[in-house]
Amino acid sequence: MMDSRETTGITGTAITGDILLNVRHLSVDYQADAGDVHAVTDVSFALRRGEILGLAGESGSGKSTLAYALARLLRPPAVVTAGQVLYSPGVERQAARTSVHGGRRGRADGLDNAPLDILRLTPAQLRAFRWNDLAIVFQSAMNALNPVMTIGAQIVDVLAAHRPELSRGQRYDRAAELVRLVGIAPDRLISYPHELSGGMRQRATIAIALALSPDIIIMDEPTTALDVVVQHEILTEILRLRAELRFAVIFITHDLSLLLELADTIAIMYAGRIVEYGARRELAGQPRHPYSYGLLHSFPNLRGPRRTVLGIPGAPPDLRDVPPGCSFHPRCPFAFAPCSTTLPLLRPATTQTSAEEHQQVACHLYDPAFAPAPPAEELLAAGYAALVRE
Amino acid sequence: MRRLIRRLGLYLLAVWAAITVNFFLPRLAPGDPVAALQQRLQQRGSFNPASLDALRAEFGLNTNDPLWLQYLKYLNNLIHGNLGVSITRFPASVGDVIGQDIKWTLVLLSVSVLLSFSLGTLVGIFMAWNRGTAFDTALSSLMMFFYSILYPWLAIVAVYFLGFNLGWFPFAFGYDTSLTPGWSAEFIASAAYHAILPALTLIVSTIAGWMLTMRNSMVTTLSEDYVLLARAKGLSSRRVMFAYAARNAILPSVTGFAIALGTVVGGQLLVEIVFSYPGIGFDLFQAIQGQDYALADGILLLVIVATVFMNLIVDLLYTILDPRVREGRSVSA
Repeated sequence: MMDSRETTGITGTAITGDILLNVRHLSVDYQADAGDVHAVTDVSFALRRGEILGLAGESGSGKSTLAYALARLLRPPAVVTAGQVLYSPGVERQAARTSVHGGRRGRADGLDNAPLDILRLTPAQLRAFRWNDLAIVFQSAMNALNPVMTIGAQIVDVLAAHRPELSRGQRYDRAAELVRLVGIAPDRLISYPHELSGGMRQRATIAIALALSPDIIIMDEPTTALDVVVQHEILTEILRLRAELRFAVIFITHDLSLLLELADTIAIMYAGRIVEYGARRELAGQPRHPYSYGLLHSFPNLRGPRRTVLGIPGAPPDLRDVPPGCSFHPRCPFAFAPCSTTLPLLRPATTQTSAEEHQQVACHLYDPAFAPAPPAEELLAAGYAALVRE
Repeated sequence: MRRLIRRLGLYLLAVWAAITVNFFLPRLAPGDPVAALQQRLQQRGSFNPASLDALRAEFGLNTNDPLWLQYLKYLNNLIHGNLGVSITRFPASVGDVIGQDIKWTLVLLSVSVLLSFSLGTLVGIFMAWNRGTAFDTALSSLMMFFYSILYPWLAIVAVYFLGFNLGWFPFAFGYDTSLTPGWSAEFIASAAYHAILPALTLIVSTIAGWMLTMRNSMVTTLSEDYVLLARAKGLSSRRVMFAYAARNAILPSVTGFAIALGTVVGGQLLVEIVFSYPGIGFDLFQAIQGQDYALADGILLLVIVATVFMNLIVDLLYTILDPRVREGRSVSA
């Protein structure tokens, strides 16, 4: 198994499954004449079996680009400029795969348990990897479904491509089983996408994602276009299915409040970098990065104590020309000298290294080399409150 | 079904309106066709002034009747399938003239239109799939060039160089006139040989439109999420290209295709004039020159009916191709 600690610095997670996906120093650029857009810069994290990782950030923070890079779906001018995405299928999965696919992903080096670098798969390996191991649920279910094919046909064509050994009848049986699993009546298989409601369409795309029982499902804003009631239904459905099928989820959203209901771990992205990473409880309880703090207080909390709703002034930086040092410093109420010169890297947020503590933050306020002591939450609150008054 | 009936009613209305315009328009134009015929008959020396009135009646040009009565008689004749007698090809009836010449037009044009559409659309699909590559860029510019060529110029250049100068192809008539028309292998080969040049010029001048339409339409569908999802599903490139991207991109082209098929029946005036092809378009040209109301009316009527009919076909085709336009479809519980 990879030594993930050394590469990601993670010292333990609430989820204790094996590491499925280990993203290391991934960078993605959009190449343009006016200068390359650094959409994702030096992102590292690990995803464990059965974990729901929430990826939050405002529009243009690079979260969708990151997801597409993991799925090998980037199209020019987007280019992965650095990094690895190491995927370690479980032992049973590995065994099942070699028996079913007859060495389709046979390995020259004979190391059966060594992780695969998704970014370096051969075309044949990539075709087998897609949907078998990693599936995607897209933002807008209306556009994610082919308008001229029935729901059933769109499930069946995955099965036809990846399970040629199944008969036609078996494929349709499996399709019926899948839609039932996500709460759609099987007679809907002959419906076209426009004949379904938004929530049903989203359920259908989830059914398509589940077709081959993948290890990982990337969900790119799957509930954004839905009303809150349906949104809640879908989230509940995802949690139930996760418990039943044990897949891991990378859940991308700009709505941090959703992640507080759903995710096991949360990563906050800003200007292409992860600026804070931690278990949901830690992040919800005490956001460390000034940006996370602002983001978390930018919507009213229904259950917690009353608090002032804050906004973060300014706009995200132009990703062609990211400010030196910490890219958030021009908007940060707490910026001090090193912020504009030195790039902060993810580091443990606190000095105590208890087993549960693994919140990490990329901010000089938490670096003993620059700040004598990490700031108290009241200080963050006061800093933002001062902005509101201005 | 109710939708279909409503549609049919609408189309009948369109046909009637077109027939009416068709009837009145030439009769409002200056010139007297019978006088023209009289001249022609006099030249042949077989003219009997007493028969003039009979001729007028025969041609439905009895100007003693008020216009509305002529119109009603015309409608009545139409309903009985009587299109009248051709003035320029007297004494052949319009029905016979059309029946004889339409074969030429139909074969030449349907083959050209079909080839042009299918080839252009297919190449357009590959251009969109490989958009931005040298293949796409070079072909796009070349097609823009073809697209802007004026057809008569292209046809004349082809006739002059390939036909007249090099002598590779015959450049006039539908077949070798020394042969007797029939189903003999020799005649069919001759007809096919004569059709090459007009067909080629037609394809060259129209293929660019199909290609660019399909390319642009498919570039749009390629950026749709369902295509990305199809790719993420690990489907083969061919399936993503055809079942997802092209299948959705072809819808706008289908309308254009139907319109093109509608013109097949009416003939291509310019093609048939340049190549002196014995088709309907050439007849129409002659009918207009000879003030042959009956023949012109008959051909225009045919064009109208064909266009309307093709529209109806497209309507039906659309309901097959695009489930979103199907109405009142419910899922059986």
